[in-house]
Amino acid sequence: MTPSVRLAKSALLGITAALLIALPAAAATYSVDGTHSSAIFRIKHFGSSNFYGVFREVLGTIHYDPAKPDASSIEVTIKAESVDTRNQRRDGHAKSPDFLNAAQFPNITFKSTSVKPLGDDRFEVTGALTLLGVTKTITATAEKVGEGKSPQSDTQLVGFEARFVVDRTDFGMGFMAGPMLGKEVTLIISLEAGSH
Amino acid sequence: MLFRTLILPGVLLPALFAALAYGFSTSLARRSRATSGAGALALAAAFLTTFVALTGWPRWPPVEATQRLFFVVALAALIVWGFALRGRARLPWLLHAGLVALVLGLVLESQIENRWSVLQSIGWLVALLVLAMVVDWALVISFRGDGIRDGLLGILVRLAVVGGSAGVLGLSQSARLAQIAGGLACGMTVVEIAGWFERRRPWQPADAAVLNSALVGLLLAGYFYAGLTPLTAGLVLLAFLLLALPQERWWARLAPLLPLALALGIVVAAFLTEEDDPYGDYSALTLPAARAPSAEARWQRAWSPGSLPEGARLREGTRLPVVGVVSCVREASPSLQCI
Repeated sequence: MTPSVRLAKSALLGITAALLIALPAAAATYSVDGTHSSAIFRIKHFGSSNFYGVFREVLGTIHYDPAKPDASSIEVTIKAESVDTRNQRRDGHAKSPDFLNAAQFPNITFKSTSVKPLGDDRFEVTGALTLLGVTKTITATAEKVGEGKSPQSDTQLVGFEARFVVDRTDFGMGFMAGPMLGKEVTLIISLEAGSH
Repeated sequence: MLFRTLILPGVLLPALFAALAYGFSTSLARRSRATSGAGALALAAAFLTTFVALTGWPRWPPVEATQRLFFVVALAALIVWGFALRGRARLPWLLHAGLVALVLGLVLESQIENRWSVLQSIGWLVALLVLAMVVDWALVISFRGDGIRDGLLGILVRLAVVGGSAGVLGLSQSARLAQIAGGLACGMTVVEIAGWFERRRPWQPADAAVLNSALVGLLLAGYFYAGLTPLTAGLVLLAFLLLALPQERWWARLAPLLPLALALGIVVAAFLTEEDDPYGDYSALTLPAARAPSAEARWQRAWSPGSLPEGARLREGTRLPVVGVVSCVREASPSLQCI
């Protein structure tokens, strides 16, 4: 093989690899990677500051079709028991019947019913949020953060982030709702999901 | 804020509605010359009022344990009142058992569905049924009083046991359960005061069904869904059992206070010895985080009254040896974290 042929072959391989990496993923079902996903909540404390906590266990699946985004769907489950506010006693209170009632309602779930593309990798996602055994329809704007292949494996990755606000009293979580602890809770869900 | 969030829903409203229910039932009974069932109605009115004041009306169908308990307590009160209107001051034991079974099944529904196997469910339900029926029996004995009017001591002890249960629940990670139990205690206080002024026993044995349903339900919720430990729950139940002791002797009247005081003491001590816990404004009561001593140091301090560091004094001149003992026991054995 002459050097020029070798060079041409390498260039062709490089271009093909770049194209493969850059090409948008085909429709696929992705499993949420809990280790690289985040579920954060924000609530106002005594009308003075925003308090942030997290849920450490997030599971779910995303069916994403870049060619037909409105055919996409998402199902996410957050383990209520995994709430983490960096204080053991507060965590216990958060899991108690006063708030999340994790023993009776171990899962907070969201199941989409429609996905509407808004352009610029943004989507309006409508679905059923179930918290404390109560299901309400919510709509959130989700943004596709990015996609690509995992450098460590053969996994195609895709990431989405959504931020929305719920009134916790709508779900029966009324303890200290008002000036002491806000009624409105902002949820920031950032998901990384992989597909083989 | 304290008035609106605590005193109004947890004290004033339940007391008011208990008084109204008691007055209504008593006047109705006087006209019809039946036994009144006033105690049962007053207890239920207090319980239901506190629940609604704190959480709003329960959903139908109820989705959560205390929401289901709301309906069971209402049902129990109606049953007792129905029997009272027919001149019957007691319920058949089968009916007591039926109400207890209903409380267990409905309050523990999520445990049965999500956590327990069939065998575990049967085991737990049978054991708890027996336990709850024993408590029910003790309450029936206490309310029956063999026709003897309670002295002030007997009344205060009974109120202390119910109120103390609310206190224990309050330190079990759920203020909501404690507030509802507190409302129940307020209703009970109203009935006892009414009976005192009327110079007669305000209770009938059937009223125990309502109190038992409410308290057992709340304690179960506290144990399985909040942080009530086996030891403190057991001590509270023992306090109720001791209410059945014959009341002729003064020590028998005071006996229920002992396990209750122990339960409250253990819970408070465990609460106060938690290290590095700024949650809630308890800085005046807890040990400073920076000075959190080792188990051995705490043991030595507990038995050396003069050696407490300045910042560790809970009150001037106060010592709590039990604080050191509890801390050391907890640290010595992770399996004893139940204390």
